[in-house]
Amino acid sequence: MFEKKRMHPITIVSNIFMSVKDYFFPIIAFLFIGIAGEKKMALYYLIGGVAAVLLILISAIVSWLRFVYWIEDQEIRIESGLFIRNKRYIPFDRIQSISTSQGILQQLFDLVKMRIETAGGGTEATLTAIPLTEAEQIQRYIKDVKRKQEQTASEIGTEQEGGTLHTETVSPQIEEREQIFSLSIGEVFLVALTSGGAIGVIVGVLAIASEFEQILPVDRMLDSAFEQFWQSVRNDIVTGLLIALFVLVIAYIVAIIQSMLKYANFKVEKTDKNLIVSHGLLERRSVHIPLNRIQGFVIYEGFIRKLFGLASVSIINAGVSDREELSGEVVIAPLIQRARCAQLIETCLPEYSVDVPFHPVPKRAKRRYILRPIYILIVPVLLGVYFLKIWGWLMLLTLPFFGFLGFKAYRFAGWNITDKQLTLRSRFFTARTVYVLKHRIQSFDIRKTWFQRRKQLATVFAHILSGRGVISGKTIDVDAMDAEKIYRWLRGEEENIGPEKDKMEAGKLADLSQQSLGL
Amino acid sequence: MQGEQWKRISEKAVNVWKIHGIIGSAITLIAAGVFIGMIFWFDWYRWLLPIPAIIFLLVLIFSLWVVPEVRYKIWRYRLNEHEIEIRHGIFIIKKTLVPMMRVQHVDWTQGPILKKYGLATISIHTAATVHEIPALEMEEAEELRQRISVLARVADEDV
Repeated sequence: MFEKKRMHPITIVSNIFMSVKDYFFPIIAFLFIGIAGEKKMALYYLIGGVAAVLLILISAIVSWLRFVYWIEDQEIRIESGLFIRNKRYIPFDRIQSISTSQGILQQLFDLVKMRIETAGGGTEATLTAIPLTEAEQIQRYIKDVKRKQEQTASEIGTEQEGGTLHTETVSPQIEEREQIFSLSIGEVFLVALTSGGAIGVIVGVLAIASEFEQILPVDRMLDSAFEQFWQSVRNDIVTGLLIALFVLVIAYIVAIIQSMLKYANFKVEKTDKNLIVSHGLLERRSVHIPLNRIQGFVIYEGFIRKLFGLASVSIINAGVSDREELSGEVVIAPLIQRARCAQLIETCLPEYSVDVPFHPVPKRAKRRYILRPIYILIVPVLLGVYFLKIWGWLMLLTLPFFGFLGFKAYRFAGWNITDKQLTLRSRFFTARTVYVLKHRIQSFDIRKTWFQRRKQLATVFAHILSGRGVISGKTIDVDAMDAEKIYRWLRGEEENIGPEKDKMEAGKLADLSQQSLGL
Repeated sequence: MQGEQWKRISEKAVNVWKIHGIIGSAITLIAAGVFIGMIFWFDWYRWLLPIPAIIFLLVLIFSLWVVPEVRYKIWRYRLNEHEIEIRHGIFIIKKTLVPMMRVQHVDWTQGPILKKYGLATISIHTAATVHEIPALEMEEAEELRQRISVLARVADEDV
């Protein structure tokens, strides 16, 4: 029914436009240099220019020639490639949506541009110019096949992600809403007070201030500018400090007002199929998140908030929206008592369990945890000691503090597996606990550096789909055997493996790592 | 179960990576040459001279003799109907598990260097991540691609 086909030749023109667009700045630079350059070089520029034009032309034609597409065996198949040959076969049931559009070029010849998107939300394939009738034919064909598949699959009752051909599912009736979370004015104020936004504004102000400082006495040598700066500070230290303080206070207040406006009237409601998060005073925002698109959730405990037993909760949303802030991670509780998280999750995502017992990382990881932040800091601190003298010595004080943070991270790190849920937690400044169900894990990594292998440790990563991108849960320096245990759990072997067989498997893996060690 | 053994990629991968290494070293050599030129041109400290030379030598040795061999020795993959497993790395060894039902589609790619050796690369796409199995014999790559896309489709139906 669908044999191998090339696209309409007008694609060549489109290809040319594309490469001109991609190399826009180099081309402009080239022209500019050519015109402004010396006369005797003109010939070379001419040759270079002609060569470039030829290259663009030829590659446009050849990539059109090489690009073929067809439908076979319930897949859209595309083969392409100029120097690098590429075959991309997309199974129908992975297709999330097909959209068509018409640019000027396409309109002239009654063609369409067809975009094929899969669950990741990315465009997996683009057919630049195909006849309108054919696009409709393809769409109808895929729809039919998928409908048939769904009928057969419906009794199994899967929540198939690539279920429908339309991205936007409209929910016409007003569903019953149940409010499951909200913030009081006081809490909104607390959020604002402790949020990173305030720090952001302060950093911004400091950046601007340093800009000003640069604009003023910059015509001197760097050293003397620095000296002058110190001089002026010494001369008028009180005024300087007052101004700085004033600016900081104003900045902080602005930041607080900003985030209060943003989080005012924050509430989360639940319907049968959606979570609805809405907030904002001047500009009211709301996000509908289909419950079956939720891939997991994350509990964050910031450094200061953790002291007070507070946390924030975000869910990981696979849905994609044109508005960047609405895809991927969505905050459902900007501020919540850590102890209340379980209750909140229970009401909206009952298949998860929050308060699970965590397996800690082994004792032998402690030293690595404490030293790791110090290793990273040691070079800048030593440079500081060398160049900044007194201030540098003060920087030395950060080392024990970071060591302490490392120790805290060691105490916090851990993992847990239940029947169908994986939980990984890690911390540096902010403690982060990632919850994901087994069948939502896109891929799982065990990484071992040389040093880790010597101590039988490993770092584990679970990758989760989030909007267009990926969010990863991780735990550093878990026992290598534990890492393998999680790995086997994900393979679905963990329950039915006896201790005997378990040992065998471990032995086999140890063999493998020895093989790699003995190089 | 079929295909439960860890498999290696093609031995020719070593040659392919050596060619990559030669290209990388050539670029480093040019950069080192420019740097040495600048030391003379701008009359910088002469003790800087050995640095680009040492860097170039290290890049040469590592990218030609160490990296390709080690990389090849560590590379393993295996798959069955439920998952794909990949193990690779040089300094950091990374073992990855990709559940078959998460696989969206599989790409088959062949660049000019791979073509010379009759090899191809498979990239396995999930919704969020991409995993490559480089330098497989062409038929093997094609077979693997087909197998994974068939398995991935079957797996989806019995989630």
